[in-house]
Amino acid sequence: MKGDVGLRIIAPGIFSQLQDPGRYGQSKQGLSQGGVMDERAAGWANLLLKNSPNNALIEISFGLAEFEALTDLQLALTGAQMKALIVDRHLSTNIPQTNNCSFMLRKGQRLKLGFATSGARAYLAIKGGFDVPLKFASVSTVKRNFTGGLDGLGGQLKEGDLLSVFAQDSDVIQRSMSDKFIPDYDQPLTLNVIESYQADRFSTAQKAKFYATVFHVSAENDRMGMRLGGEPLDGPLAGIVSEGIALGSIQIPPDGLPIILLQDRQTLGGYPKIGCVARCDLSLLAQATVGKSIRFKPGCLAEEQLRYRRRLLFFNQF
Amino acid sequence: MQITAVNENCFLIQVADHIDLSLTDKIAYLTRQIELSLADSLLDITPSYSTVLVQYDLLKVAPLVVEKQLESIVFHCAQKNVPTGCNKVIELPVYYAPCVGWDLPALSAKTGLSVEQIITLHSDNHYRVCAVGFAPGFAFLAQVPQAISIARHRSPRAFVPAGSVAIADTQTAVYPSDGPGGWQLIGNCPSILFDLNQEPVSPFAVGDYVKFKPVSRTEFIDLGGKVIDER
Repeated sequence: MKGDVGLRIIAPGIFSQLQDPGRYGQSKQGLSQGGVMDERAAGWANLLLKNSPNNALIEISFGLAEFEALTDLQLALTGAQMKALIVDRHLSTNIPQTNNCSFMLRKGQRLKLGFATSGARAYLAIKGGFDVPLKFASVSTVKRNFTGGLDGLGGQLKEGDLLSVFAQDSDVIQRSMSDKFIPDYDQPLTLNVIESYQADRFSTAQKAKFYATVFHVSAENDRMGMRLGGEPLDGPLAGIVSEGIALGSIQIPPDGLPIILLQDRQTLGGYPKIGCVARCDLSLLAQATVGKSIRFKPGCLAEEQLRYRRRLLFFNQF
Repeated sequence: MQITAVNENCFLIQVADHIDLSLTDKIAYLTRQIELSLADSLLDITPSYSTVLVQYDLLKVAPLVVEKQLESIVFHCAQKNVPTGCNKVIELPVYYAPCVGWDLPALSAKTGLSVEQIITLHSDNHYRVCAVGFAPGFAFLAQVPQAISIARHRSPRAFVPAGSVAIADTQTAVYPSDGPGGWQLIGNCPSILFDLNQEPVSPFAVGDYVKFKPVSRTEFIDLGGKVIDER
């Protein structure tokens, strides 16, 4: 049966959105791509259920969300640690539910998440994906474009929303991530940089300072971009003719503090860019919270292309 | 023209490093050729004033293959005069009046031109779509006559109504949706310029021409236009 009502949003928490790998082909019309912030954690959530990485899932930012199963559902939860509990009104105590494995949420049971204690974003995937409306082949919620999401207008998930699911397979999948694949989001972060764009307009001294500085995640960070705090770079460059902005671009605006442009970034921009953060490293950046230390190191384009391609192949098994 | 990888799956084609209206034909041609040549392996393409950003699917094609394809397109584009005249002319009705063009009186005072003169200067001109971005369906149009060019507001307005026709330096544009904006407003276009239920979602493509046609208040209202007071 297609379109069985499956999961009810009891509380969206700080904020929760429907996401997938993003909306492509509309950049020349000015639409942002959107897409999951942590492609790795989202990829695992779907993989644990033998789903395609293109299946829609819920991106839960900072936690405090709660969901109820209206039918028996096979789910997987990955990403930030939010001390998940399964609440069953027939039982006197709640059952802790570990991250990074597939599990069954029975009809009437609720999955309750606390505030994120490690990392920022968790991913809740469902076997077969949510049956939700697509716009240009994507459900990705982009608030600033009024695009995607359950309402089709870029709205966040809200209390009482019902997410339909495709028919649930009768065979139950029991899979979990091996410990060696589970990242420690509390480690300091060093991001590989693919130098490009206006990199050769930065002086050797400016670049040396860029790589030597320990920046931190500032409070100005959202799905569009992350502004870093710290010692500003000297003598920032003049603006450039507006050009297309690739995912992970590191802009250096006149105040000398880098801004890393992320999934909901605008399509065009006129600040000079020193390069892009390696695609695979953006997953770790997506889990960084305010105050976290960030450093940069020069990366190798060919190696990063291989690493990213391997990741794509790995998550595209089903 | 220079082709460089900017990240794992994007190439940037740099046609020039300055704004020059004669580049627009080349950019529009490159964009069409790349769409045809990369076909299925193209994820997104972002043309702008002097660059084209090309994003491709690493699962479908190897970086070196894309680079060779782009080199070949760029080579052909540099060799010959690119075909022109395949771009459409989009005519847009505009109601030029202070009730919708909130900055029209100030522009008149600054330039010493009458409102009628400003309307004539702005509408008696074919503009070129140089880039689409900033917001969905927002087309950067060039070039506004020097006599009515005016800098952006120092601090942007929190609310600019959809359809607002505006000037920033020598560029002009129509705001496709309600939102914040810092450009100087001179009128309003009642046409719908961004609609997610249409494909394409906006009528503008880089290289297209735009012609503004002044309309009366009655025509504006008949075409669905709304007069919204400044908040």
